[in-house]
Amino acid sequence: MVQQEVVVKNRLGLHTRPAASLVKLAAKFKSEFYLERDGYRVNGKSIIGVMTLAAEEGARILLEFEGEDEQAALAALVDFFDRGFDEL
Amino acid sequence: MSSEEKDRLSPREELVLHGIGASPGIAIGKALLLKKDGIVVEEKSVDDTAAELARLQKAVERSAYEVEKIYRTAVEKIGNDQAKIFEAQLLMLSDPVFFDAVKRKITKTKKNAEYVVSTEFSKQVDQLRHSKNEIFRQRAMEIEDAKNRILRNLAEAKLKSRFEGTPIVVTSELTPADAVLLSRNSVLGYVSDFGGARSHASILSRSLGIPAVVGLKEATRHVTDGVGIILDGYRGIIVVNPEESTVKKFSERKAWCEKLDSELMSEAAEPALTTDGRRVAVEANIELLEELPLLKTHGADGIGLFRTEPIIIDFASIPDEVEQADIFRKAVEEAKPNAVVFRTFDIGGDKIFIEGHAEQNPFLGWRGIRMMLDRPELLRDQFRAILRASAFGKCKIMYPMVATVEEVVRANAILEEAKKSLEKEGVEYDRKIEVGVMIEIPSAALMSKEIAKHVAFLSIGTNDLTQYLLAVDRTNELVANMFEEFHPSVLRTLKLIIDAGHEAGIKVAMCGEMAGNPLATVMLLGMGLDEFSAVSSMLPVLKKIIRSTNYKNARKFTRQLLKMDSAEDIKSTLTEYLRTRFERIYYTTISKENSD
Repeated sequence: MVQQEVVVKNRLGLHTRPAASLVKLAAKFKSEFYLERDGYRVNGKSIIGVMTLAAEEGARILLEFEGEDEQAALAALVDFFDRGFDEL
Repeated sequence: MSSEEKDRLSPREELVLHGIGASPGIAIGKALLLKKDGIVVEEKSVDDTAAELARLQKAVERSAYEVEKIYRTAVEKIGNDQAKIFEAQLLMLSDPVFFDAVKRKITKTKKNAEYVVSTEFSKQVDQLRHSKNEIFRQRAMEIEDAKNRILRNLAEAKLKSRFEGTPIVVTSELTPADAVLLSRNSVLGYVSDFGGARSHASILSRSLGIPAVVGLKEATRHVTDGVGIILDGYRGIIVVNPEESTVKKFSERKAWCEKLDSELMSEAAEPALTTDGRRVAVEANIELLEELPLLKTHGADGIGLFRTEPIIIDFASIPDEVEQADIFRKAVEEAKPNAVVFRTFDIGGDKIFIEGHAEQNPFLGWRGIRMMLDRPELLRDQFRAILRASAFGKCKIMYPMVATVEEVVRANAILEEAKKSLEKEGVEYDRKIEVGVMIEIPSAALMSKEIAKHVAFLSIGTNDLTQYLLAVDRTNELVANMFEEFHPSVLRTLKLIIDAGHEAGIKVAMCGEMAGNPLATVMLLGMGLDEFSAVSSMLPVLKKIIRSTNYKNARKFTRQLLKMDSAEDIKSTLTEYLRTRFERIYYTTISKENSD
């Protein structure tokens, strides 16, 4: 299992559009994927779940992967957060 | 309808219900009750979980099929942009994680699919409902819609989307999907318990040209299938079980209003010129790109207020400079040769988009230009977007929620930076672009003379100005009845702003609700207002009044009004004026609430 904390960088946070991109990106990997924020945990492969995270700009989120491609998945998702969901 | 039919269908008394006029027009017909809440979900145990899973699968597939159909209809009828709201629905119906959890729960607990679907969805919706963010709350409604759709398909109930005859559809809450889907029938109108004039379904009703009254609270309680009903979308009322005399009255009014509408529309292109030759501008307030085709048909002298913050909802994030510029360019090209006034993002107040940001007193808080000056990169990007659009047609820039001269100076400095940066990059823009300020805070009103020195125009926002002058929050039911835009203090402030602008040699516009209120037109004209900006549908009405008015007489009349010390007297004088000179306009536009 690998974990890393990331910060939501785009101005309006993890809204529907980035949530959809995130879920689509996560679906490319076999590893299980969870996002956790202030003790609230959602499955990263569920659009409904990710939307309920209601993560605004500056929110710290813990990404957690478990599976054969966990390193690659973590790298891809951390990069996605670092790019501010391509909305910067 | 014939009186025999009515007698058979309406054993009860005539009943008038007040709501919000969401789409104009009068409809007279029979009610069709569209039931959707009240899907009672029972908790049952099932033996054959495999069969239960198959039922669920079928219901989800059927639901996705329905949404795809609605999506296609929407694209066809109202275009891609407005149809986009149905994409999220489709995504949700294919959420593998969510539905895997539902399936596992059915297998494990041996409970019926309805119960499990309902409880699992509710968990998610509750998460969002608690959010202070408007975007997230809208999402909650969409998730709820997906849930109800699946539950209905589990019950193998066909969506009542095709029906005979020409009913008035009555429902608890009209979803955007309903508005589109039902319009494929010859429906005469929409009536709903919940909803506001700005909800998606209301906007769609207007685009589709279907009269609608929403927010009636208890319409579904008082209406049964087939009962006679009259819908007045102008005034936001419905009449249930109308008496024969009422039906006759409304039939006459309907014919009358339709005749007036066609008359007004045929004259809409004429200039807003008073009988003694004073020319004013009558412009449109635009909220959605879909409203742009109305500019030409309704005779708009350009766009006096282009609200930019709705595009944040459409994008579910703040669009970047290029995305904004593309949208602005569309408006500019449609308004040609007239100008478009772009108001920079007015975020905050009752329109908070920053999740996790809550204020005790948002109307007195971080909003409008205050917020943008704290996020100069956001403001600069928006300036650059507007400047880019200015290469394609005349643009103006307007700052909202200005309280002090310093804010104007600071925003102007950021605008200069934005111009320089584009200059360096060799991007074309209009170097003579005009900047204006919205006067909606009393401090700015009192300082309008000083503010006017830094800008090319002023534009009055009456809603906020009234709420700040009278210290009345109109969303607070306890004091909402004290909100009065015809209060003498408000009117005197308007006069002060207009005079200050003229003294500084600049034009003064109004883009608040009052500018579109026909009751106020003669008075605003008499105060010397140069530009009226209002919802497109009102422009032909305003033009008609202006073209029938003598400016000198209007000035005299207004001087009398400004001497009055009660809003009651002012309103009754204005009402009498409108009723005696423009009877049909009076009826079709002045709702009971503000003419009483």
